[in-house]
Amino acid sequence: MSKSVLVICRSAPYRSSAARDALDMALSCAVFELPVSLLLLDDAVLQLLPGQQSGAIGEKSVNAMLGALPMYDIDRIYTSLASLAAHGLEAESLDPSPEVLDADELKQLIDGHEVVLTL
Amino acid sequence: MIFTIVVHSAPYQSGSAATALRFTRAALDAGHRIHRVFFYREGVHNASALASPPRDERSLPAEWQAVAQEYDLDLVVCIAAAVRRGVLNQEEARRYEKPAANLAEGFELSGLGQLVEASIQSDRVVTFGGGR
Amino acid sequence: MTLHLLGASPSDRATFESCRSTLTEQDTLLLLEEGCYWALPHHRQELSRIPARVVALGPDCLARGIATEGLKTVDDAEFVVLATEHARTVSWY
Repeated sequence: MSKSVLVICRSAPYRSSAARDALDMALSCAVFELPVSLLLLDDAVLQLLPGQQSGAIGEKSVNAMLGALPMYDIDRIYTSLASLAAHGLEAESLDPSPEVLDADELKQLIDGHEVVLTL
Repeated sequence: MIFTIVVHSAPYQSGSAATALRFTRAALDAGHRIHRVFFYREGVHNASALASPPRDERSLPAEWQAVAQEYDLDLVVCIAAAVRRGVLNQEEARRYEKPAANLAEGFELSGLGQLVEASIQSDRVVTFGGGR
Repeated sequence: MTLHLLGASPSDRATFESCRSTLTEQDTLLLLEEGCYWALPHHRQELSRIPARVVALGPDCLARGIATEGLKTVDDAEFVVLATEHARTVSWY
């Protein structure tokens, strides 16, 4: 029996292990061939800021790992209009560029998954 | 119903590890099955055999052990999260050439796949977070 | 039909806003741990505008000295029942 999993992360990169832990959860689901979606809410949208040179603080780049997700058949990264607005960002300027959801679409996304894992 | 419980918080980091324990007991008392309790992130510290709170304070590692023994629970600690944070069983202590192991009895180290498998097998997955 | 667990205190505005933006009329919002402070009188009005049913975890309110008059509380056993009655749980911390 297969189930769809939604991973919701709400943390900026390099704050704690949250961004990487969310990625690891999504990748593990993909390894088991479960349909998985990644939703970056609030500060987590900052994981998509281009030009991150995480080596400057001795960290691995979360952004680079997000860019590699299509290799694992995780094609879509979602965020919300509110998360973008909170930081004055536009989806086109982010990398990888996320699919932007309004409030109704956000509810539908949650409703469309059987398991929701949050960090 | 079959539940999986996910614990993200260390014992003194937030109240959520204790809430997870209460939920686990309440679910078992109601006749539900807990497929697995999965300790991830700082939650791995619930599995430390070295936690030594004063006698008049609770010890979450001991309480998890007690409920696990009573109900034959599967307490799985994410191996990657645990080893990073210094929660090791004998095998990992040998592998990383560390002087001691501290994974409490009743817990086992395994991969994130155990969370995915548990999600597939369970009717409900409940995450107890805390400490983003 | 989702059970949302809100464990963040009212001072964590972003967590509340994100949680609220996902609530539907079929959902239940359970206040637990520091989320119980949403039951303080000062926050009740905002709480009343939430589209979902709102309940609080009784022991967590009791422990923190939070009066729950006018708000439905559940004990741990009823928390488990809520989890069975909803298709999924989403945690907000």
